[in-house]
Amino acid sequence: MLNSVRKNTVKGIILAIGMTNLGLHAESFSECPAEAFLIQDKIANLYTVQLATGFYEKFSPENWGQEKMNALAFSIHDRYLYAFNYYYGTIVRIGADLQVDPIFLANLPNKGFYVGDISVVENAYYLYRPGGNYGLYRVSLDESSGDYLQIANIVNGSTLNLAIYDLAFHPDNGFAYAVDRWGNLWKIDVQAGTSENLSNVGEDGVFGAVYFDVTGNLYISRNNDGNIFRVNTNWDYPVAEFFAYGPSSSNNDGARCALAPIISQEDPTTDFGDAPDSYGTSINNNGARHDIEEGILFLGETVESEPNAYADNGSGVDDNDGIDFVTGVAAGTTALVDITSSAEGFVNAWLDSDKDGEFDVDEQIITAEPVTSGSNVVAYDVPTWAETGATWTRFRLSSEETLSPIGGVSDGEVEDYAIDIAEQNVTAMHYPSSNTWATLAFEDHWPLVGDYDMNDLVVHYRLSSYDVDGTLMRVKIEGEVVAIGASYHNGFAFRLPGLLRSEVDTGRLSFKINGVEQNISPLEADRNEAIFIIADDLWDFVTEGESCKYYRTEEGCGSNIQMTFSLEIPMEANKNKAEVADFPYDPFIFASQGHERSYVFGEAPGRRFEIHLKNQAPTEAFQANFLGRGDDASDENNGEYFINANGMPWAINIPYEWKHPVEYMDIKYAYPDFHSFVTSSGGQNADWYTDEKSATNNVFKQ
Amino acid sequence: MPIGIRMKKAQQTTCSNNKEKTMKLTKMTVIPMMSLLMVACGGGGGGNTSSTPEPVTTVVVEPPVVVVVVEPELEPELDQNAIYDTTAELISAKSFLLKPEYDLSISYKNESNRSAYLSVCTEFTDDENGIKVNYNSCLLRTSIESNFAGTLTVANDKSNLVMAIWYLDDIENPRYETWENDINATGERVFDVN
Repeated sequence: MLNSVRKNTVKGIILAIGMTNLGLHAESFSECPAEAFLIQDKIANLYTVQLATGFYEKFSPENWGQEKMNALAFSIHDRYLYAFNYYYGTIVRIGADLQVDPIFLANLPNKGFYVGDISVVENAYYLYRPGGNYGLYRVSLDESSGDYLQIANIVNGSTLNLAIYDLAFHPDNGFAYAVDRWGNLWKIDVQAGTSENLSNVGEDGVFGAVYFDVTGNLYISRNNDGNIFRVNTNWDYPVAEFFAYGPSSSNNDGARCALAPIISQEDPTTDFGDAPDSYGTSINNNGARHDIEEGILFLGETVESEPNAYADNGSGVDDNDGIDFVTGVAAGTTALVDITSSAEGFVNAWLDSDKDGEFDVDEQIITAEPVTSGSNVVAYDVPTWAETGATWTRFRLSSEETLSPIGGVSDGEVEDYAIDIAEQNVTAMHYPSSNTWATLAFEDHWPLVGDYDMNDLVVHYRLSSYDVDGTLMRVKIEGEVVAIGASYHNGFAFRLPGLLRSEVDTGRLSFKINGVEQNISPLEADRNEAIFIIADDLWDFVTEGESCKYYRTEEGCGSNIQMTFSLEIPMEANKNKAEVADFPYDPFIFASQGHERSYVFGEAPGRRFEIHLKNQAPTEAFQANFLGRGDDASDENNGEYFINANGMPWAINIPYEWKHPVEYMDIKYAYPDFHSFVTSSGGQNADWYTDEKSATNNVFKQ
Repeated sequence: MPIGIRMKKAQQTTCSNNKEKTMKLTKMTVIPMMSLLMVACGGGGGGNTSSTPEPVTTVVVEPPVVVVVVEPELEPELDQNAIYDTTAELISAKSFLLKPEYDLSISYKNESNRSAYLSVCTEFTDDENGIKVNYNSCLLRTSIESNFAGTLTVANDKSNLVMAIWYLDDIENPRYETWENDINATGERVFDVN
């Protein structure tokens, strides 16, 4: 299925542009293809090659009936392939319909050229063979020129004597490039017939097929093992980096349109990982990538193609579904994963145990593990020196047994997972679960009753605590700011009741906003209690939509989530977990410095103003006599805080990825069961907050 | 000292309703001098609007300090069958925290002190291929070498849980135990595996 679709992208875009004065009828390619072309074998076969992954498939039909060809070239001028054909003893033109038309030339030495390419800056075909009887020849393919189809010997093959097996023209500088059998990179001035040795790329062998991409990367394919290397000719001293596992062959010649990127933006066939690019993820960083080929070998239930890492292909399908971490990952222990494979293959995997943002050689946790279709439980050892906290793993499935954490391969799939390395014997508890969100929804008019659309601030979050035999080791807080439906300026914070500021290991504290480690400590200064300030003013991190008043509360005012945050809070030794409050701790908002509130406050109350969940006492920063103002009916003696006379709060917590009401919509009309849940004190409609129970027209939709 | 006006409603007016959905009256009292809006509502339309106090709104404007007249608090009457047009009228028991979740006591008896890994999760499938757990949905994950006991906080919409126990000496044979919430249960629930 995928195979035929892919072929159509090449075949289905043909145009009938005849080279009529030669009586040629083949059809040209309608565009500059992203694929490379490879011609092989005594009875010629033409292949398309995805350079990014090395995936190749036969493009010519079984009954093509063409004899050996070489010196394959793609002309960007007329979008035909050209080659030297051993049967005709001359050059041929090959169309997108695979029709082969010979072009007979006077005075062409019929000796078999296996090196050649068509220039990008002039419409001329250069053919080369070393040795005194040959040399570098130029054939003009420009119908409008006076030397059309004339052959000219530029230089004798003993003067320009290079042990090269293919050459490729740079996309814009006019020079041809080649790598000889000893790995020397040559830059060839085809008009002067001279060459310059730029570097030794560090890989030797017969590079029978070489290609350029539009950015000046030269791809060289080695005949004996099929390995494809990338050589960035923009570097001062270009060297080869392993790029992909491609097809091997004894005779080989490649060509491609040098003006195309190597992965089609429209019809990508490549799967990438998701880890940050320091791990080698995007194509620029030679990221791990797999051709999805015919969809035979993949992890989990599905694999999706994408033009590059982090590029949403719009399908909305999460194809990271093949690895189950059936045990946690703890330093110095044996851990288990359940790997679901679609078919037989090999798995290699890495864990960034030292959390340095790279998969190092000694961080490979699974090596060439054979797997079969279905579930495969694999045990691996987590290094004793693994550091605790958030890090990344990479799993690669392929028919190729040995893989590195980067580079392309012609089948299989890569899946990257953000995971947490735990302390040995740790007990991890998660709220609402390890990978789902809870929701905090605030009305921020306190101490005045608001409109109960419960979207003045909406935050998704999750909490994790890690203890060893009751000693609290770490707490993790992650979240995202989902909506701000008010113009007041609010800060957002978590207090961990029962934990003192001095009990936090500030040296190992980690605080990230939008994935970026922050320089400022979230731990609020000059307090006894541990209070973690996520933001002093959330409006510093999000903006309202165009012609919208607020952030993600009004119809038509959707945008991406603009703020995420994560905190890892390690404890000093011997903190008894039982002394710290249960989930959800104490999330609260406070007034941003210098911003006015309602008339209830004569001046901007700043940090002294707080809004907490129902009956949660404020922090030591709160100004106690704010309680009881306006509609607030707190009663400290009864442990009643932040409620009005009806017992209703200004903030609710829902252990669910809750969809908030649209702007000005009373929660009752977004969630019709909410009222009876409250009036029955939770006895009825306990699940009032789920999507199924919402009035879908009255909740915010992206 | 903050300047401006402070006000306090001595008693939050409530708008409890009767079953006939009688019309309620919303009075907007404007104090022009301070351009101050106050919202109150009162029982209009008669019927059996039980115990809805008359709105009492006392505003003393005396900048910069407002003297607040406090009347005795009245606990608004809870009526499980009341229907309110707006959430501003809704009455909640003051002690009810509006937490849509329940406590679940779990325990696992590790008879022979096997080295194992225990997870309690909310998402799983159970079909002819057996149980398949989504380990991204776990509330608890721990390595164990003896018995385990603890208490979890579970969302009300999660009524089925699974305990997965993987034995490090027999990695091909994990054990799964499932638990279903009794919808009529109140208080702490129990999920014990022996």
